[in-house]
Amino acid sequence: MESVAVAAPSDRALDMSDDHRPVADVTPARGAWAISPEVAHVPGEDRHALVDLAAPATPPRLLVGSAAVIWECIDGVRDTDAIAATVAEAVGLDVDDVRDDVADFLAALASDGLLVGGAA
Amino acid sequence: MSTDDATAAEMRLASTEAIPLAYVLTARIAAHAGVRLLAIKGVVLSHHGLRAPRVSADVDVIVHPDDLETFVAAMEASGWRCPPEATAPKVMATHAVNLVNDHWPIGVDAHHRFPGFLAPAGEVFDEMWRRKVAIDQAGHQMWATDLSASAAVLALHHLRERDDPGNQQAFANLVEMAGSRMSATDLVDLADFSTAAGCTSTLGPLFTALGAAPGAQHPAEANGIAEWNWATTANRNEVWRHAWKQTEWWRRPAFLLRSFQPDEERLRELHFRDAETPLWRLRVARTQHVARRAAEMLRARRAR
Repeated sequence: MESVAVAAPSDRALDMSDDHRPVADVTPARGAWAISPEVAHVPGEDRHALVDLAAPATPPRLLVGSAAVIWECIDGVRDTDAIAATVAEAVGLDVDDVRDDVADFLAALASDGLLVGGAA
Repeated sequence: MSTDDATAAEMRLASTEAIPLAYVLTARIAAHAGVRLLAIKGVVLSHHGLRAPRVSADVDVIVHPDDLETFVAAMEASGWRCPPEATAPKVMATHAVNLVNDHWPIGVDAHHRFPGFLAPAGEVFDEMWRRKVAIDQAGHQMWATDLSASAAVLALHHLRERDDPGNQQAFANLVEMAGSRMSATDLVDLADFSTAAGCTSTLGPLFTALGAAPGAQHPAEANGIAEWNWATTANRNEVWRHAWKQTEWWRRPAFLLRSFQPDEERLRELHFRDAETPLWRLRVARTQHVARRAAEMLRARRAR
């Protein structure tokens, strides 16, 4: 399904901008990755369901397997290397074997607007 | 790294995941469209301790009646759609729009009024909005009905078909939970809300069961209470007969056809909610259902 933009917010909508504010502060540390405040997500058993509220026409996503492991490492504190190290330990591989995949995946999530931060 | 290795079954959004996401998504879409929206029923009831948590088939929200069209348009712009209008005869006027989306396993019921609130629907919504509380859904906050409005909504939902044993049990459960959850101050607030929303008389069984004093009636209750009393005690056959009588003669053939075999989407809603059931099974199930109903109506007619 293609994204369909909703109408630009009216003055009234701007007055209501706090109606769906995220519960937690997600400002990431320098170089660290954080989940975008525009993302609503629900942890499941070995997977995560999420929706980008900034793109409401985009279908909900499910992250499973290693994608879910990476998602759980995104805490506003860890950068790409720290996340790769955690993932490597979790899946029993050498960090050099997973770093590129992890970096690519984080970049893809950021490109889709699901993550913020990451720049060193 | 991708999610492509997951099986199709694994990649289906579960209702437990979809419900909080859909609540916060609808809140966001409404806010961007400049529409005030409140979560009702579902998680709101468990939030207030009025019902044990359970997985619902739909997400229920309410908007001001003047905002319904704007809200539905905003939802449609985000990929949701309204199935064909319900063809099942109803006594009570349509009070909600059901929105579905192929990417979501649940629907969104957008209410613009709620049966049993006899004050003008706009007044009822404004009173609910004035009392709104914040709840957390999928890491975000959204507005929801407060304890009194939530108790009233649930009670009226169960009182709509009060002869149904399931509703009677559910109402008894509500009375038990509300009895332990609501303080004397809460019950006074419920009476105040009922006065403002025009449900003092329709909530009579709840006030009686809780041993609470009802408040004053809203002026609109005098006009609406007779229809409510009839609608909530009529059985489905009476409802169908009422709708038949209300239908102009030249529309009756189409009415009969729609009642007997509605379109596929409505059939799935009526008989099987899953998308996998083949259409021929839906048609057979519908035929059996109509035959049973017709036999019931004939027996009732002979008994009179």
